Amino acid sequence: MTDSRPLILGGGVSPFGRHRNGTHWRDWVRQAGADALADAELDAADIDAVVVASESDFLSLQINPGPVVLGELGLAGRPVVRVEGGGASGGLALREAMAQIMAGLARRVLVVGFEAAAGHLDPAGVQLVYGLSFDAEVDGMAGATAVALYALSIAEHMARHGTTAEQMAHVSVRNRGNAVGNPWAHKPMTITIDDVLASPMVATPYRKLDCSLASDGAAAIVLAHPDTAPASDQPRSRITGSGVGSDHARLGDRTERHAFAAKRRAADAAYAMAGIADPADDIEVAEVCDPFTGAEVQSLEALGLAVPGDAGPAIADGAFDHDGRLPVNLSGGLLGQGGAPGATGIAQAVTMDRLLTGRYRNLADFRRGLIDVHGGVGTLACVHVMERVGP
Amino acid sequence: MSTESRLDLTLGYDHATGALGDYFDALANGRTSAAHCDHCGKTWFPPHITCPNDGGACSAVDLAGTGRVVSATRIRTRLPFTDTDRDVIFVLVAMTGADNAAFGRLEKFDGDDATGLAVRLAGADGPLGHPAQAAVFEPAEDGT
Repeated sequence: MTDSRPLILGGGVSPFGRHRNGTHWRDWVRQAGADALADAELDAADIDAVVVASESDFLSLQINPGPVVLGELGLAGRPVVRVEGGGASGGLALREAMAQIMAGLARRVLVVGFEAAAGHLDPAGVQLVYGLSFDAEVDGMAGATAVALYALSIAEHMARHGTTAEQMAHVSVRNRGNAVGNPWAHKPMTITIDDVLASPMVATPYRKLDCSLASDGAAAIVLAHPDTAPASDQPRSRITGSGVGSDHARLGDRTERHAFAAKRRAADAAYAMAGIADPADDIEVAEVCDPFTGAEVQSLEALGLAVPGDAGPAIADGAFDHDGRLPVNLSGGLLGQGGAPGATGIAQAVTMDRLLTGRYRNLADFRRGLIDVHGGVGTLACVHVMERVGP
Repeated sequence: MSTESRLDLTLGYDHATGALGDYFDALANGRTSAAHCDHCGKTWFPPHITCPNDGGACSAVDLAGTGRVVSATRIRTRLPFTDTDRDVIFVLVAMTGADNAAFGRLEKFDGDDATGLAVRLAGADGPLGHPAQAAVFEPAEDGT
């Protein structure tokens, strides 16, 4: 019986950034979709279903965006499902496409994600909307913002494990540096740890350069049942493991406020599906959710890529640098490439596909990688394992 | 030719507090109205109508109103549906008798780090942008 876990046939990303240039998210979707189809060497007629990810209609001014996206891509009439899970939206859309293919509901699925998060709604409006990302009625309306809740969480991690501001600053230096040369990146920067530590305080202990930016952008990727993939003499990647986990919506309700238990649950499920027993040894490269520097620390530990409490020192030692034992966020992550919530998880998959097939910025190819996104303060997490197949 | 234009959105919303109304009323009066799960025995403040862990029915129970700060952050921000930025200390407080922690603001504290500080629920003076903004704590003599 054929292993029905889907192959990646191709992907495209419309650059992340602050697009105050007269363009609309429909333009970014058109570009990303066309690039994905071209990369897959397919026509629109080859696609039999679409999954759309976007986080907020407050940002796009578009309810029910699925049919609009179909129209932009010449796919009117196809089945379409819109997926939303905050910052996890793109990853959840990949999982939805994977489920459709493995269930026999579709054979070739185009997954499209977008967000107009940066240059459109006023800053006060953006803060208000993102305050609804948590338990809006109890915490959000009381004033909780993303940076405040992440700060409260990492403060407990620092108290428990001794994680330092310098260790977290290394994440910012590395990820923004990795983004230099990435044509899709919103915020490539060459900075030092001292630059991070001297940047303005936003919410103790997080400073400005500890924080990612909300981005505009779109990404698209084609998943296919292996039986329907065109013959190729080039290596491809496939998704071999998928997991979703959740935690209490209110940070204060969690038994581990300093850790991302939802991500641990998602990773455990993804590793079980992929047959991975020791992720720290078996995963060779990872794109990890880093809306704040400390969130990468917490994510690495939840993903089993570092022992709890050891991620900070390992980061400072360069274990996750581009030439370290497990390169993390070679794209720049959310800190460097940017964060367009509906698109982020899909852009991660496009990046990982190219890393696994030796097509990413002349970097050494890898055999097995991980992509990771979450919504809320690690509240809803989605993890995928991807592997190279073929020659 | 692409263009940009300004769209001014004004959204009005008739808001209801639902089953959390009793909690918000108590909060406004500085009273710690929690929820006790009759099934697992956990006590939640802020309360849940249904226990999030096991779906058990919860009964309202008042706590003493004191606790300790377990985490704190200083931030300049604007509370929802208010019109001025201000310096705020947001805290998570483990109230005595509760198994979780409550998010809120810490006022009347001038120290550097509020972690471990004994506090009491104080309620809020003046108009609020939302009833949840009455989750205000102050230093207490004894918050164990």
